[in-house]
Amino acid sequence: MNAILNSNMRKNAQRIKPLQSQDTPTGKRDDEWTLRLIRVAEHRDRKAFAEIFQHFGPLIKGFARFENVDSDSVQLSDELVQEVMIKVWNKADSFNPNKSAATTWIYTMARNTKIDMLRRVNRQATQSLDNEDYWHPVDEETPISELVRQRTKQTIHEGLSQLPPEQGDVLRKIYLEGKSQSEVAEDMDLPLGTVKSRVRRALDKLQLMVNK
Amino acid sequence: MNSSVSFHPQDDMLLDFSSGRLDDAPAMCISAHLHFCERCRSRVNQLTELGSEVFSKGAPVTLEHDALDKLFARIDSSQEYEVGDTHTASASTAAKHGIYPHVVEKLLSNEDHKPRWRNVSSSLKVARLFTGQNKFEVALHRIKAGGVTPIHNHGGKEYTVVLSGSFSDENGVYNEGDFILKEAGDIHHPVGAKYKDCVCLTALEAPIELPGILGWLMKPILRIHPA
Repeated sequence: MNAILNSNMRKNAQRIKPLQSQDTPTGKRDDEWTLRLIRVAEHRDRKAFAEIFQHFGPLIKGFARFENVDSDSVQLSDELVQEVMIKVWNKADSFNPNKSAATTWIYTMARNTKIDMLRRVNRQATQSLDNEDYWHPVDEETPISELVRQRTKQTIHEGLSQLPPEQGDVLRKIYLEGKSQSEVAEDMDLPLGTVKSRVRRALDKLQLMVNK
Repeated sequence: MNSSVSFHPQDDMLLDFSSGRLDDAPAMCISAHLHFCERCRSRVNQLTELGSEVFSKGAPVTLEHDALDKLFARIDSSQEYEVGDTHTASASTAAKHGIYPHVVEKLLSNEDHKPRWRNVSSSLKVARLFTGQNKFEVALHRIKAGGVTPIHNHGGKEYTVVLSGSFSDENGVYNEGDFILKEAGDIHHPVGAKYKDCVCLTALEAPIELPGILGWLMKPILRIHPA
């Protein structure tokens, strides 16, 4: 264990770029959660971690809707919170603030863990892949891609709350409840075409799915 | 990586992939395609940012009163944690050496279910991959340079991603990274490029159908085995 800790300390000491706010081109990525996550990564800071937990734990529990499973879904939701947050603690060191904001990093971990958990409870004990494997990152960090990402995030942040309610509802069903567009149509008693066009219009307004 | 990718998945598929709703086997094909395709990677990243924003504005649900204590107790009982962004390092190595996308490499390295190549015809070899799902047969296909594969019909969806080399059919020429979806009822006749073997990842929903006596002879070989 000490070897791991020591190698981690060495690695931190060798970081070429210090993680400081003035490093960022727009200043957006070092939001408060990103700074806390860096403190967890570098100093195993329990206070910072507790704050992250208090903020994200309830969001993860809200995100952890388990429908159509045999097991107790409330218990599963609590289990998901624990699973995701222990990963946040264990993997904080691999968080790279130059690539994503803390919220996005934690969200992707929650999404992947939730899908793995669903596979586990539903059927597939012998999965060859974890959901993380599907999202294996390709290293393509450039100042431009970073800038584009910042702008995309900003546009989404500002635009999401201004969408017409029916478009926001569809996006929530897709991303929070994990439904396909046909399932959303069934759920909301709408033709599939209507759901698809709401998604399309929302993505257009948020300037997503365009070549950037 | 490869900027010459010209056949992409539909936006709807990328959306389902990003929300985690896509079936496993098509998701493997999307993941393999993303390895080669900057355009779709950027789209999926945009959708992940959207998912993250929706998540951060979701309704919080109160946790158990002792949730944090439980978590710290778990942390204290196991003090090891992972070191380093190993994923990124191995991904860039993979890219440099032009080996297969991560999902494929991982399926190939499954010690309990070692994939084996077997001949379907003199021009075509197949190696089934064990994936643990039961809707699609996932496999690698190797078309010999200049090889002509049998003309075939599809009983269900067939997803293909070119991993190396190229092949063509009536609709176009497909190069490294290209993503091809054939629907039930589509007929095509793939031919390998002249000078290099072509390796593809495929996910097949139902057995393909060959016309005539050849179809009858090949039926046992072509039966799909989701695994």
